[in-house]
Amino acid sequence: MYAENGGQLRAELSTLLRQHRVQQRLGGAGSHTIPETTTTDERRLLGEQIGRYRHSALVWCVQAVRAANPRMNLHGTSTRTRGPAEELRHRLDVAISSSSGLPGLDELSTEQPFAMVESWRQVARAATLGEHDFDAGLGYGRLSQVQCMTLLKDASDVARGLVGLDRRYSNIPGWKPLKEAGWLARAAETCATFAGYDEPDYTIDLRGWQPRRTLVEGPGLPGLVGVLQAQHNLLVHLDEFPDARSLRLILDSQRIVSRDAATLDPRASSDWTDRSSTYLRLIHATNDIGGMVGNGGPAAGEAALAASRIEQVTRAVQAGTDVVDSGPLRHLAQLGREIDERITQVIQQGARERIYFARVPFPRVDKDAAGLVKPTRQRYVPMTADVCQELLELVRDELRPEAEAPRAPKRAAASREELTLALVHRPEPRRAQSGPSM
Amino acid sequence: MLLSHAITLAEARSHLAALARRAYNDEASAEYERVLLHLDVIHGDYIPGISDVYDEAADILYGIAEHAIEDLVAHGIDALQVELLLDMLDAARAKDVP
Repeated sequence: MYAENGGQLRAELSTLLRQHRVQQRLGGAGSHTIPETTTTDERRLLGEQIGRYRHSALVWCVQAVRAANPRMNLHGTSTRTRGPAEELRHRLDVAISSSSGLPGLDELSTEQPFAMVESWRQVARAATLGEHDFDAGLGYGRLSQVQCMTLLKDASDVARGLVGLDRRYSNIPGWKPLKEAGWLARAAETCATFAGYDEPDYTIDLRGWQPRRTLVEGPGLPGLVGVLQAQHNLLVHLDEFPDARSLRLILDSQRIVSRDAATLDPRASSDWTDRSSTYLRLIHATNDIGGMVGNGGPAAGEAALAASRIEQVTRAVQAGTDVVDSGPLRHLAQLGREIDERITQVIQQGARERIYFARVPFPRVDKDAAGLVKPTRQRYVPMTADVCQELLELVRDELRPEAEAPRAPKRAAASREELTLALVHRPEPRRAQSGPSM
Repeated sequence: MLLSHAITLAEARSHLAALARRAYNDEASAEYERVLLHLDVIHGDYIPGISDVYDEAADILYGIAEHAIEDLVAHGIDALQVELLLDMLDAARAKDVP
C-alpha cells in the first residue's frame, strides 16, 4: 500500500537528511577519538552502492510524476514551455540517464553493516516495492486532481531530499554526483510549491497494492471468532462466482447471522435487524432464479458454517456460559459490509452478463419433446430489469452499503511533515567554547 | 421430467412461495423458503417456475403444498427426502403463528 511504502521512503529519507559527518558514518576518519575502520577503496565501494540505492529512489520519483501527470511526449520542449511537473520529470530523466543503475536483489535484501547504508537500503526497498502501487490503483485516471497534486508533492519532496543528500556526500571517494543537480533541485522546489497550493488529500495513502485475502485454514475456532473465521472464508470464496442455488444458500445464512448478531450486539441491534430483513426479502426475490454457471459450493459451505456457529454462540450467551466482546462484533459488522458489497456485485454481474435467469412459467405443452408424454414447456429469460425489477432494486437501494468517505491514515500528515522539517533543518551548532570572559 | 411430475412440482413450489409471502413472521417465512430451497436442491435446475395461486387461507395453502409434496413419491423422488421436506414444512407451520 502507498501508506506503507511511501511512509517508509519518507521516514528513512528524513533519517538520512538529519545525518551529517558522512565520512565517519562510513568508517572514515574525522575525529581523533573515533578510529578509521574502512579504507578509501571500501568507502568508494560503499559510495557506489549508495548510488545504486539512490537510482531506485529516482526511478520511483519519475514513476510517481508520470502517474500524477502523464504527459507523454516531451520531445522538442524547453524549460519555458514545460510545466512544473513536466520540467521535474525531464530533470529526473536526465539524472537517471547518467546514474549508476539499479541495485541487485542481494543488495536490496541483505542487511548492511553501516546504519547509514542500511537506511539507504530501506529507501531503495520501499521505492522498489512502491513501484507496484502505481499499477494497482495509484495510476492516472483513478486519482482525483487533488490526489494527483498530493502525489506530485510527495515525489517533489523526495527529489529535493535526494539532491540535498547528493551535495552532502560529495566527499565520499569516487562519489558520482547527480547530473545537473542544480536544475533538478530547482525543478523539484518549483513543483513542490506548485503542488502544495491546495489542501492535500492524504486518502491517497489507502491506495496501491494490497495482498490478497487468504483462507483461515484449520479447525473451527471457538466462540464468535469461529463465526468470523467462517465469514472471512466465505468472503474469500465469493471471489469465485457462485451458481444460483449456492447464492440462495448464502443469502439464507446471512439472514441467520444477522438475526443472531442483533441479539448479541444490542448497540447495533437495529442495523443487524435491518440487514436480516433485507436478506429475507432477497430470499423471496430469488426463489425463482436459476443459473448453473459458477461454483459456489465452497462459499455455501462456509456460509452454512457461519450460520450454525453463530446459533451455537447465541445459545451459549443466552445460557450464560459465554460472553461476547465488542471487538469481534465490530469485526463481524465490517465483514458483513464487505459480504454485502460482494453479493451486490455478484447479483448485478449475474443480471448484466445474463448468468442468472428468472424462471418464467409458460403453460404450454412442449410438442417437440421426445416420448409419448409431453412435459410443460419451460422457458428461462435473462434476469434483466423487466423480469426481476424487485430484486435489482433491492440490491441497488438496500443491500449496497452506504459508501463511507475514506479517511486518511493517522500517520499520513505527520510523515510528510517530518520529511519537510528534515529538508529545511539545520545541524545543531557546535557546543560553545568557553573562552576568556571580560 | 414428465408432465404430471412437473405439474405436481409447480404446485408445491407455488404454494410454498405463497405461504412464505403471507407468513405471520419472518422466521416462519424463512422456514418456508428453506423448504422451497430444499425442494429445488432435490430436483436440480430444470424445474418449473412459480405461478400465482388463488388467495386462499393459510390452512388451504398448507394442505395443497403438503399434498403436492407427498405426491412426489409417486414420481420417483426418494421417500426419505419427501419425509424430510414434510418435517421441515411442519416445523415452518409451527412457527407460523400470529
